[in-house]
Amino acid sequence: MTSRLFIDDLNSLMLKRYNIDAHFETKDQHPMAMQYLEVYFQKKFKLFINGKALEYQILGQKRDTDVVVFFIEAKDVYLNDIYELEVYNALLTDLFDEQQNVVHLKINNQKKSFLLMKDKPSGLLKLD
Amino acid sequence: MKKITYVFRSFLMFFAVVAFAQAQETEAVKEGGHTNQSKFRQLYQEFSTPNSYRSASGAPGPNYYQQQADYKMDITLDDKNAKIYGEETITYTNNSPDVLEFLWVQLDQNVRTKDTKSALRNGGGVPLAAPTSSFVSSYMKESFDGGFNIEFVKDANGRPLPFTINQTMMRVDLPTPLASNSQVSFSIKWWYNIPDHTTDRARSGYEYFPKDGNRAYVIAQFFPRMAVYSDVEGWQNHQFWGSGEFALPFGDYEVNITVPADHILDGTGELQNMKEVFSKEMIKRYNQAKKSYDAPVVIVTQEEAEAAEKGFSDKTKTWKLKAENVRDFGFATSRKFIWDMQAVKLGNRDVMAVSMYPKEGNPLWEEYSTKAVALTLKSYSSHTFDYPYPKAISVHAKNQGMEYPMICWNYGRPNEDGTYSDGVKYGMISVIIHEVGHNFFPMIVNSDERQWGWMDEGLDTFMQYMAEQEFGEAFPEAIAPLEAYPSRRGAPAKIVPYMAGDQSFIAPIMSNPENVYQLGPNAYGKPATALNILRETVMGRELFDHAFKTYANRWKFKHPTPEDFFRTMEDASAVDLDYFWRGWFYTTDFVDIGVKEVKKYYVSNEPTKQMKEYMAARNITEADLPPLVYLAAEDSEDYNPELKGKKPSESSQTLNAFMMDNMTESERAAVKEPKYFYEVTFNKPGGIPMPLIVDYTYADGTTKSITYPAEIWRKNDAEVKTVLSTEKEIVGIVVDPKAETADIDTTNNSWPKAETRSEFDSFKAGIKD
Repeated sequence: MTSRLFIDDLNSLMLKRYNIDAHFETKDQHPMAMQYLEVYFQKKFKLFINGKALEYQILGQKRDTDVVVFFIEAKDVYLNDIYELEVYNALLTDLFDEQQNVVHLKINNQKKSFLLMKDKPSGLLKLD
Repeated sequence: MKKITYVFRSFLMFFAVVAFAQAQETEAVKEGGHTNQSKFRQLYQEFSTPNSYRSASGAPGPNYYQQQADYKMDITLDDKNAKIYGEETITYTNNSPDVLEFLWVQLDQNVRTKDTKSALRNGGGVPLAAPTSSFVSSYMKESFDGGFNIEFVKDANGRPLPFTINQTMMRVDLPTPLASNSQVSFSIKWWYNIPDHTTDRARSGYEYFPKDGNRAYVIAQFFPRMAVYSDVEGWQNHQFWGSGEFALPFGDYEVNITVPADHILDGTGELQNMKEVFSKEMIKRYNQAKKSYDAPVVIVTQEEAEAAEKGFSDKTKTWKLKAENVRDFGFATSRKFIWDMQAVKLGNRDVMAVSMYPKEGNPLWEEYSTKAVALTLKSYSSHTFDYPYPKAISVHAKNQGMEYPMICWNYGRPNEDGTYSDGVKYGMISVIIHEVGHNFFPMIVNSDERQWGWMDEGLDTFMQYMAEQEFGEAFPEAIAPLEAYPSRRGAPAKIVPYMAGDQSFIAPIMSNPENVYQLGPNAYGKPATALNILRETVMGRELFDHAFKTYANRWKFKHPTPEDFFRTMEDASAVDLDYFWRGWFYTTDFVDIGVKEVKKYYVSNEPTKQMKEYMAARNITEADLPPLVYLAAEDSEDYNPELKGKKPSESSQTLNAFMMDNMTESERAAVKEPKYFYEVTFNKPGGIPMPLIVDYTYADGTTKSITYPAEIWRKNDAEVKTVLSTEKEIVGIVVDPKAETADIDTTNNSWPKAETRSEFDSFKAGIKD
């Protein structure tokens, strides 16, 4: 999985929520930035396969213009056994009331997108 | 479009079933006819019919008219209570051929009244659980008491005029209708509570600084403004809901603004009473700034601003500003402002590039703001017309990015210790370029923002992209270690995630900004990218730049519509772009072109199997046929390895005989004899027809690029075949090798199929290495 977040938004979030100057993707990146980010993701970004929460970890990050791309991996997922996939994405909705998160799913050649926001942070995809 | 195609397909399937069921008894039912579905048909259904107001060329027609609204205003700021009091006289000139029984005035502050309908326009359900802060702001907080309090509306003789307020608009009823080519004057008195723009997300208001107890005001939509009456809409009647911006007529403004005596103020127009409001030192510095072309001169220093913010004057000063031919008015005022200016030479005129910022903006603002303003004026002028106003001001306001004639508010705040990230720096430079750039679109080329967000945002974002790239070239030290300015929008690849997304969250560019799902990509990114692709790939810079400049010059200080833009771009370039406007602006189609199949052929003397079957079916022999050359496919039974590497005249006797009969020996020696023949099939899963850009790589490593015009798709929108005859073997084919068309799926762009790794897989592979 990849997650793309605006650097400025992310830095503002880290300052407001955890009181650190995160400086993502600069030489001054705060030593605790990734730890806080991991904590934040586990709280605000959740995946459920067939109703069961999926464990994942953030492998790393890279910069793309004004965006940080995070690389996220979940292990032991059996694609053929999935009949229902739920995404909960409330990233940055605590910072901005009007934050919109777009989630693109591609699974077994089936494509689906969700537009998730504060009032509607979850999307459910049922597979045939 | 989508719906029509779908209906059409079901229709065909229905017939197929009927034909199958009755096959034994009756003949197949013939396929029905259809209307012109070609993506290259003209946009006659979508465009309004040209008339004497707007010509088919895209230029204003012989009877084009526009209304004029002139304002004289006295404004007082109550800094203690954050209120504005105003009284204005509007002189409205009816240049239309119509008689007007009433006038519509815009009351945009009413979007923040306690009973505003704006807050009710977005539906939504009860969430499973609500974050506490959102719960509090939704259900527990007393809403802000905003909106205009209208004290009176009077005619020129001081008699009250009847008026009716409908949300953010006010109808003023005229005792005698306003005839064509006549004028009416009337006065309005009002006051309103200024919102805190940092919490209210308003397009104007104040920011409060708790450390020193002062406010910095960025003030706009502060007066009742005339709505536009035009040949396309009559009275503009779409309310201000918050997302759609403004439609305003041009006019002359005389505005006197009374603020505390220790405030520094700047706004739309030229200052008329400098001696009354400037200190002697400020006047001296200002005169230096007028001659400083390469660096800004500070008019109010940080030390002076910091001294001022410790006090709070009970005295007042009145700043008198006058502006000609503007569509709106804005101003910024605070005792916290630092102020710098420099001159910019445009043609034989000097324009002042100005910045105003509280100390919280430094050291970023003193370094980059005025530099960015000056560059924007030069870059935009070179692509359109010389900036016609006397100055352009960039004001620092937290979280703002908002434009008015000659003045704009911009974000970009360093951390409290003065450090800032690259993100903050580039965000700040970009927003300044963008908002100063709005002077051109829509402040001067004055499109209707309320209806068409993309006409100003899209064109401006496209111009911003060019100016940013030029900024990087002009100040390489400012962007080091990067080699090019990191533009957020404009490059084709940047719009791919949006255009590849779920169709249920995408609206065509030609949509009202209130009705789209993702305003950023819809009104800014996609149109800017479309124009960038037109310039770099479809039309070329020379044709595009001339046409774009023609549009800007035809419509400066006028009100263009989308068709005026589309028509002018074609009129001034002789490039029929109807297919491009249809695909990019009127639909949510995307670009996806691929290479599907490559077949290799050699010249053969023998008729192919298919040809033999054709002859047998018609009972003809080779003797009945004229001399023919046959091509044998490499993977067919017609192929014989001996054919490979031979000249066509060696493989085909008929060809050799023809050459002997019709060419001299020297002509035969000079003729080219390609040894390889390819039939390449390109497919187009995407709905938008685009030029087909192909790189062919030969066995010796050399490459040949061919760009087939978009018209290659005009007879078959799904796939096309092309034949290549070459001296050298082709070993690779790549479609859109430089990623210049915003192709959403590049996994089908190569032959032989290149293995493409997802962003995630490449990252993981990188970790392992």
